[in-house]
Amino acid sequence: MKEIIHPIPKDQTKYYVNIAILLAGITFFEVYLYYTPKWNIPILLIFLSLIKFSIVVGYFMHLKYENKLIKLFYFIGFLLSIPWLIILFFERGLL
Amino acid sequence: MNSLTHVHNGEDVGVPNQKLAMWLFLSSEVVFFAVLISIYLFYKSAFHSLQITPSDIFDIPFTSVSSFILLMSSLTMVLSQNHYEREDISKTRIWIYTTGFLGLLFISGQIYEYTIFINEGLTISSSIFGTAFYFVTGFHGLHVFIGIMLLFVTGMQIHIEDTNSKFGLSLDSLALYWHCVDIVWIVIFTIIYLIP
Repeated sequence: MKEIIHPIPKDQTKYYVNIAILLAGITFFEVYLYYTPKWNIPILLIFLSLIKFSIVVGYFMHLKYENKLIKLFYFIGFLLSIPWLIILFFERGLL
Repeated sequence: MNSLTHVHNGEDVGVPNQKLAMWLFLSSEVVFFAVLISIYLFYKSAFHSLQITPSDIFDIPFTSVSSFILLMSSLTMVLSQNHYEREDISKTRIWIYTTGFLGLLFISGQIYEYTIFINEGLTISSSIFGTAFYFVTGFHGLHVFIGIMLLFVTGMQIHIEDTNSKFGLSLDSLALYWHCVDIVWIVIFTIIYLIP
């Protein structure tokens, strides 16, 4: 009879720290844009925050490895939010 | 097997029910905050009764550090999960407490920020802008506070014998909640603080 061996998951500290460094870098860049009037464009800042949002959801919340049903929930919400944001920003004169 | 027989293994759709319920709950939380942020955007310019504009009182470097702290708390949360999977309970507990401590730092920063704003004349009743601002950031702060309580309770509950799938699922659910609080702040920080 075969013995079932459960492998111990790898220590992924370095992997997650690299993702956190990327997130911190994007945040630093956003603040840099805030202080650069030429580049302080709402749509660019929103785009960067959506990248950060997706990185946290994909890697820290493990959506990348999740069931298709959960991925579907996320992508429907994400796709619906983009036109909602565009309409809202356009209506408020931020675009 | 009869075609009407149900299999109650807790994973009827391929996902543990507790986890699916948590994702659905978080979806409703995201919608809740989306509505609050929309309200804020509608009243963003309604600060005429104030002598100052929001950009005069927002301290961007300070709030950036707070945002960084909350982002790092997501890192410590995911590290606690990784150590739990590796059955390293002592490190799991350390990372859970670190996450709670970072959450406390964030909340302390928010209280300090509120004190400054109130002294500057931005209160919940000073203008519609103030009401919208305190509603969005206050509800977020309340969620962080609930998360901190759950983190410290989980940190106290975790024992060596708790390396079972049920506790792991609870830790996963708590981590999902904490990351959700973080992603909501990512959007709040950009829309409220950074966009002029």
